[in-house]
Amino acid sequence: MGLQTEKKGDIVIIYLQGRLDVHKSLEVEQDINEIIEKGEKNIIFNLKELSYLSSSGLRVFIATLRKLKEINGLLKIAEIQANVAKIFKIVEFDDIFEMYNTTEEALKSF
Amino acid sequence: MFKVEEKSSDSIFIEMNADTANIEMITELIMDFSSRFISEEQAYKMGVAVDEAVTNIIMYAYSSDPEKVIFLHLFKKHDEIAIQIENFGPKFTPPVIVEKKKFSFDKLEEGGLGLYLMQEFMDELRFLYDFQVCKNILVMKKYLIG
Repeated sequence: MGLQTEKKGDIVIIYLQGRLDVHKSLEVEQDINEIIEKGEKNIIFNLKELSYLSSSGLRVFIATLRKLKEINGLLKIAEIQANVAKIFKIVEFDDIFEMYNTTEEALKSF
Repeated sequence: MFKVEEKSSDSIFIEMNADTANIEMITELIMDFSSRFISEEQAYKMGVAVDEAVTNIIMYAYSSDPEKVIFLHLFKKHDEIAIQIENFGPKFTPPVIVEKKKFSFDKLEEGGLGLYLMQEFMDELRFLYDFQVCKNILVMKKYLIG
């Protein structure tokens, strides 16, 4: 699949797009793991183009956060859309993740 | 395989292989049908609930065997939209209620998160088992009033 990414200093912005369901989540998680294994530990997920999220997708976020915590890294979320935000809120994961309205705000928070 | 039979404007039968590649099609179909009767937000929630139910069947009841088949009947009747989802996997006994406190950062129970979303997004969930034909039947409803 390949993820669209952008490097800003020591921060990687990962642009997640379309759907993140059980069919897509494994591949996306593998791609994210490759980025972390290359040494990146500060990540922003830009969710502007992520239109759909299921519990399988939520697990990708949790797995990424766990991996980054193990290496003293940070994960921030930016530009989440309303439908996807509802999924985070209903399982109260909006308390676990740092969320920002814009990518600029997320970048400044590091 | 993904077969859709629209019996009428308010009743659709679907037969699909237990393949995760079909999840997008079933979700879009559910949202499209539901949005004829409920808001887009509610239709989205119904789509997610059906996604979670079908995902659990594929992953756990059918152990990701794409040759297995799932049957769905989506219909509007009186003041509710209902979906009946059938599979021939091992008998599934659901928890009475899925508690939110289970979902901690450190421990996510397999399948539990999906069940929780189904419970939160639908107005009624019923897990049944037909012993005569060894079939799991899940009925989920969304009320159109109240």
